[in-house]
Amino acid sequence: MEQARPKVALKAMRLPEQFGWMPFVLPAVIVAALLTLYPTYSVISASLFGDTAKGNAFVGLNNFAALFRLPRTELYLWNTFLWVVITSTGALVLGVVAAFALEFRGIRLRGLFRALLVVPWIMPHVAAAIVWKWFYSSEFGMLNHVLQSLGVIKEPLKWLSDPALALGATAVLQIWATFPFVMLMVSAGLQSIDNTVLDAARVDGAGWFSEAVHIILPALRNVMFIIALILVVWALNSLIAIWILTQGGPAGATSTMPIYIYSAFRDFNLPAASAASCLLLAVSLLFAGIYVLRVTKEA
Amino acid sequence: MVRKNYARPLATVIAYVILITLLFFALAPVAFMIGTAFKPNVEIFQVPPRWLPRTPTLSNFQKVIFNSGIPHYALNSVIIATLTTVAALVLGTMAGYGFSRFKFRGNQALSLFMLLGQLIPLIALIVPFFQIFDAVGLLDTKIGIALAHLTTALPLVTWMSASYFSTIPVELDEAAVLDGCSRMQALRKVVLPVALPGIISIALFAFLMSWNEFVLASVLTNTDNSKTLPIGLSEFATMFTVDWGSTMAAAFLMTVPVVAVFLAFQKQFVRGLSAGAVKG
Repeated sequence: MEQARPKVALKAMRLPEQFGWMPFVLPAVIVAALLTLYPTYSVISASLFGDTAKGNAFVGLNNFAALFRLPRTELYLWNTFLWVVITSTGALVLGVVAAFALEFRGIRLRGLFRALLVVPWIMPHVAAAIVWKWFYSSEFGMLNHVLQSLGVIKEPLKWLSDPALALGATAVLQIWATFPFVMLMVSAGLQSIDNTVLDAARVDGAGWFSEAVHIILPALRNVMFIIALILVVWALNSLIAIWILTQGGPAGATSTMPIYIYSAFRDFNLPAASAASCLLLAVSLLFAGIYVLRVTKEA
Repeated sequence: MVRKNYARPLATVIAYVILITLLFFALAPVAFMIGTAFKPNVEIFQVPPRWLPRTPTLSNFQKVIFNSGIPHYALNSVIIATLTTVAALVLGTMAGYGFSRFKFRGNQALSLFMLLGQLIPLIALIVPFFQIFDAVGLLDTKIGIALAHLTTALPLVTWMSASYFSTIPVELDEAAVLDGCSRMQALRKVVLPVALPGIISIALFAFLMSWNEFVLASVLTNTDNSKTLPIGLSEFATMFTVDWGSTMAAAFLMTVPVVAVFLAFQKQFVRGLSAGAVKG
């Protein structure tokens, strides 16, 4: 059917060249806008309304004020801060150590090590969280048994029901699930370092330390910055690890902002959930903005 | 980085010790899951716990497959993930082609805007998603959840395919256009077939993203009609008395296809990381 049509008619139907991108790009952009911009607008406006004597009416910033009047809000914010700092730092350190060990000259079976170390990251989050819940079980779990037989602890610990341990225990799951991502990114960064530069440095008598400080770390600075931002955004928004392990308990010890939003939603307290959502949106979009600026600068 | 030259023996030993320690950390919970999945109930609650079952059994798997909602949820998940993947591929490869082939004002701004869906916290959007999907009657439907999953799948496919297309020579589509194809035909008939290997791994990425997603699915689901595997599994594990044997068997069944796909496409996965796969 294509050969019968005259060429001229075809050409006339085509868009002018400067608009040629539109049919390709715009459908996706419109769908993405409907799925992100509209809900964002909607949650901001929902946070400004609430139940009043007149029904659902405009209450301005009352929902936010109410959020900060709750006795536990400070605890939630503090927990969120702790959780973000602990999980991001932990994953960054472990991931970098793993990458350096993996890319070390003498290592054999590098591909096997890499494939196995990545399993925590690719495992579905829900399955991973459930597996850790069982691993942490104070009576029947393997963790207490291993630590006891190594002599690290004397008594079995209640990882998930002791308020002093629970936040750390949930953070370990998040670190476990994200450090392989750091490892993959950093080891890709290490591979891209020019061998001849390292060789030249060595000929000049540079030891491994000055090699690390003067060549490797500067080369990794950009990728590390981006990884750190991604880890922070993930940690800020992470729900599953805590929800499955402790549901925010015991006594609010692991309640973070995502847990607060999710619980408020499940209690049909939509104004409170919306106000908390706006707060979280603002903070994570701040980090997302830095990320975008950084990516733009590099491109 | 450097794989030749002087390897210091002591440093090599330290590197191995670090790797093996990390390997234990990474795999111990997984090994405990597999061991438990094959244990009979008496052994599961034995103190101290053992890694391997003494008398391995398939009864946990039997219970999950024949006596639980898990297979139904898995089917829902496959349908939803397929819908998500098809929609994301159609829209995302077109957009990726547009971003990689056309110079236009706002190219960078729009492609960064597409990244927003990867960076925006989904947990902060559960209230509007619930309200909007309720208003348009998409609550508790497979189509609804698939649509919601496009929020992250579409940016993923767009960015990954844009970076993949930019590795394919432009001369290819120029030749097609000279032969009388429109740009759309050039994409469909010439560029896509060449890009097929990359597109397959991108499709798997999108599929797995939907297969794993928990937050939006849990908010948009009420009944078995649209309940996905992650939701079903989480309910399995938060019941009053948890049947750990079956729960571990179900977690095992959910994980195996994901790990298999990853191992088969490891290289593309790692490459995809830097191409906009921002959400893990």
